[in-house]
This record gives sequence, C-alpha cells and structure tokens, in this order.
Amino acid sequence: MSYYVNRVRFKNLETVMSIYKQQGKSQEEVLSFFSQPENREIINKEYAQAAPIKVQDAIQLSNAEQRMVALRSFDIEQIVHELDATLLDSQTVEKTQVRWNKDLKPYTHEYSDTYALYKIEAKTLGIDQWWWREPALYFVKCECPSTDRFYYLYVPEEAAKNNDAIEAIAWTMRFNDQPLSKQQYLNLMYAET
Amino acid sequence: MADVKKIKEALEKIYQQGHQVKVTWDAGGDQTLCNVFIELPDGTQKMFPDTSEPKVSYLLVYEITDQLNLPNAGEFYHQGKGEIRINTTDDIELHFTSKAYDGDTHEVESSTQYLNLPTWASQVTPYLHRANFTVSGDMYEDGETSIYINLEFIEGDEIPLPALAKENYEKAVSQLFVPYKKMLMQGAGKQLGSVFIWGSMQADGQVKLAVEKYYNEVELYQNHIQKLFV
Repeated sequence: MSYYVNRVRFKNLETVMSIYKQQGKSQEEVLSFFSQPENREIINKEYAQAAPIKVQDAIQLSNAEQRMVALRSFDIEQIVHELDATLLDSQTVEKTQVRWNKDLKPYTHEYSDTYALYKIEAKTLGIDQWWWREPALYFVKCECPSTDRFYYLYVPEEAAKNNDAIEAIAWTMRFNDQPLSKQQYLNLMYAET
Repeated sequence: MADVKKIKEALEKIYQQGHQVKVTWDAGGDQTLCNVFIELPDGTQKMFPDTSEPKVSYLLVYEITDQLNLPNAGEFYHQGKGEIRINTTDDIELHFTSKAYDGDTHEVESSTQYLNLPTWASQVTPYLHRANFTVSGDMYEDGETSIYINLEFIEGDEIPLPALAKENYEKAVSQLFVPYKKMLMQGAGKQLGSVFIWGSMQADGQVKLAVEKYYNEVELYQNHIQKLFV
C-alpha cells in the first residue's frame, strides 16, 4: 500500500505519521486523509503517541523527494540545532549604505550585519567518508538585507579553513570569476542584496 | 548531374518486366523517409537490387527529396505516394498525391466544456480534499486519440480508482473528440491539426475541461506531376 505526503509516495505509514506529527497536524486532520479502515484504525490507535520525525531520520530517507518533503517540516534553525552544527565563528559588520525611498530619494541606512560560520561533520549527514570527500561540511549564516530572511549558504572547506565568517561569506561572491577576499568584501562592497 | 540515360535504362528494364516503380514518403519532424520500390502486378513490393548500377533508388530518392523540397528538421511535414513513369517525350516523371503541412501552430481556439457523470463522480468526490481527479486527452492529425484518467493522491492513503469509473470517463472524453475527428485535415488551407482536452473534477463533481484546437496550413497535391532530372 502507498501513502502520500504532499504528493510524495511513501511505503511506510509510521514514517508518514511521524512527518504529519512534525507538521503539527491534528489526529482529526490526519484521519481525514485516510479512507481504508485498517489505516484509520492504526491512526486512531497510534497517532497520539507517534513521535515527530527527527532531522536525522529525515536525512536517512533514501529517496530524495521523501527527504525533501520530510525536511520541509522543520525550520532551518531546528535543522542546524539537531545536526549538532558547531559554530566556528561569528562576526558583526557595521554597514552604511545608500538606499532609496519610495520617492526615489537617496538616504543613508546604517545597520549591523552578522555572519556565522558553522561546521557539520559529514557522518552526521549520513555521508560516507572517502579520501576524496571533505570530512565536514561548512556553511555560513547570513541575513538578506532586502527581505530580512536568514539563509545558510554552503561554502567549501577552502573558504572555511581560517574559521572566519567574513572570509566565508566573501567566498560566495565573484569578481572576475574569482571569489572575493575578506578585504575586498569589506572595502569594495557598495551595495548587496 | 546524375546519369539520366542510365537511370532511364534501368527503369525501362523494370517496366519491360511488367513491374512499376512506386514511391512513398513521410517527411518532417526531424526525419525524411522516402522509399522507392518496385511493385509487381500482384501488388508485391521489392527493393531495388543493391547491386544496380547506377544506384537508381538512391538517385531517385535524392531527386524527389530535392524537387519536392521534402522537409527534415522543424515542424514541417510532407506525406505522399506516387509512381515514377517515363512519358511520351522521354522525360522521367513523378505522378503523385500528397499532403504537406506546417506543424507550427497558426491559430489556437480555446473553449471550456463540462463532463457531468454523477454516478461515477460520487466515487471520487469524497477524496477531492486530498486528491486530484484529472482527465486529459489528445488527438493528432492521424485521428489517433490518447486519453488519461488519473486519481492523484496528495495526502494520505491511496484508493484505487474504480475500473468502471475510469472506463466511463474514458468513454465520455472519447465522445468529446468525435466531432473534431471529422474535421481533421479535411482539405487545403487552414485545417484542424490537433486537439487537446484537459481538466480536473470540481467540488460539485463536474469535470471542467479546457479544449484547445490547433490549426495547420495544409497544401494538397492531387494527381500532381513533377518532372525529375530536368
């Protein structure tokens, strides 16, 4: 028998219940998704006690679509926390930018921009360690100055080797097909979004 | 320039045996298939011998492709059949009937239709809060129809669509194509080339369908004569 979560097919009802639980769905709502009497009976008996899926379990799902639908039920901070990410460095840069108001008049905007560099061991993500693979993954947390949303951007080991969050965020930008250095990022950046 | 004299000699030899030289072609949509073959009085077809010199069938295919400007890549099509003859003034001619059309869409007509099969809809509507019931079909210039009826689940467990419900929706969609089938590529000029129907069931059990008709520009050749190797 097949079960679906957001159009993605699963073979295991227990996994499906754990995703619904993580999504915060009530038993009543989950029951409305099931029509086969035997499934409804299982939901009635087990859903209240079912544990929400954990990030680690979601990552272990072998099907990429299933992983995606399961991981979507977490917010990014929760994923970082559950994967035991190590904070390597955090730096705040005071920035002054020219912005334009709705009447297209320029004004000066001053703000603090914080970048944080994290490391997650590859084995935590279930990635086999091979000699040609990095033993850890690195990412830098940043805030989009336009939307105020937080992003976690992957950076390679070379961008993280000095444990410097600014060097890492600089790597994500290119000039003349080369990543920016920390100094270029701090001194040359006129506007960013 | 091909050795026309030798081609004529080869053709004459075939005619003397009471055989005919026939051609069929189906060109366009990224290929040019043109086949020249010998037809015996009883209708049996045989290929030109591989060893014939000059390579008569090859030269004829090349000349026909060139003279009729048969398409290959792109959305142009030309399908036809004919016979190669030598006329009284000793010219090689292709007598043929064919249809050439541009597969690009020149015009699209859209409309909305509803399918209402309450008996069968009642087997689907209980799941519409967590599933989509979709219907789609297509018909191309050859009149062949494909119909797809699908109950796609978004959440929860899967309920197989009852076979009879599927069958009845297929029949109903198939009926929608009937009037269009009679209109497909019936003449020259702007002609109905393909029809697409798709939609999904609404909460009230009606299936709301979009119907799109695509038209092509068609050129017809009836008993046309094209001189070859001139």
